[in-house]
Amino acid sequence: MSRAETLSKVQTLLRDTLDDDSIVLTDATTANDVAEWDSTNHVRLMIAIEAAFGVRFETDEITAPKSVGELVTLIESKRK
Amino acid sequence: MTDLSSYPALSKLLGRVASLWPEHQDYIDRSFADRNANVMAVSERVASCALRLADHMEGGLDGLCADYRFLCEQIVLPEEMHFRRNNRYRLSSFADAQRECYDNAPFMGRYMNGLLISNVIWNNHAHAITHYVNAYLPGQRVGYDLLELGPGHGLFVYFAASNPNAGSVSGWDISPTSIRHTRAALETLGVDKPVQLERQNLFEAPDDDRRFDAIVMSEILEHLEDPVAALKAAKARLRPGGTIWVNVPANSPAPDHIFLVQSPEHACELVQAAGLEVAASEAFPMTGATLEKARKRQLAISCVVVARNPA
Repeated sequence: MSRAETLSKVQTLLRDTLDDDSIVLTDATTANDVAEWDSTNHVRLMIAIEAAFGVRFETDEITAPKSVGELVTLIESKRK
Repeated sequence: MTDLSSYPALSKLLGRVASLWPEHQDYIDRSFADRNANVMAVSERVASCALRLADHMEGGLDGLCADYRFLCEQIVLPEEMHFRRNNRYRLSSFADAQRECYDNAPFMGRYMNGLLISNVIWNNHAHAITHYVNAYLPGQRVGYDLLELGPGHGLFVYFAASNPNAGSVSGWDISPTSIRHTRAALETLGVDKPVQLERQNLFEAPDDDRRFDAIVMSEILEHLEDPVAALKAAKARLRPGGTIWVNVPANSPAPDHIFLVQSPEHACELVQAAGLEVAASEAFPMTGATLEKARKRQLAISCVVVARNPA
């Protein structure tokens, strides 16, 4: 899966998590840029990512990414 | 950013939390965005209590703020992950919760301090305590006798004893450490009427004639293997027509939460199963969620139930 495909899949998962199909993500997007992307919904997103990508995050990895780009990098590192 | 110029205690407390933890500012703003004047007034009183208590803590206000961050990041987050992965709380027995949490005094100290601040910042907690102060206590008869089971941080018995209609206020807890903690908090806060604090197990309390007009169980049932049994034991301590104020969180993972309440309706069912008549119920969703979204996404909801003893 390419990096762009990973980003697209994360976007779909976040749209499902927040019930908002208007969300568009780029590498530079942060949680503060998206309404309702708070700490609890972030955990819901990360658990959805675990299921969709077949990865598992440690507790400190849940809050580590500070942008969507960092999140995509984390996912790709876990899939190697 | 919320205008807190009329709320000096909130301004000081929230300002310090955000200063030490800038990433939390957005959450604070969301949590205070839609609070009405009644909730703000109670939150100001709770914040004032927290500041006074902080003055007597070893780490002071900064230590209290650090404990709140510890609660959010180190205590709740791992449990939230487990809950989302497995759709259940991590622990299910009281013995496990006792081993992991209750017997760990330093951990419990930080945990309780964090929860003290959550009563100000977390929307569901702030609304629940407002219901208790503004709706439940004013509905009691003049000279009411109130018992809180598990008084913990002491705020609920403090507000009960500060109410001019109070006759007597009591608190029972099975933990001598918790009793000492509550007693110290009340000494710091100062109360108009004495609060009788006793080491007492609800299930083993002597079969005397002590009965109460009001019994408070705030964030107790989720810590028990059999909450209905506890509600039945509490009902036995109520006078006929007396009421119980139950506050139990639904879908709220924590290391010592062992009984999963799934909805506000589930909370009412537990109370009814104990033979109590539901007189009123309220559901307060967590910060950032409407009740509808909290239900759909299984997010935390503080379920408040006022129920009457029909006997």
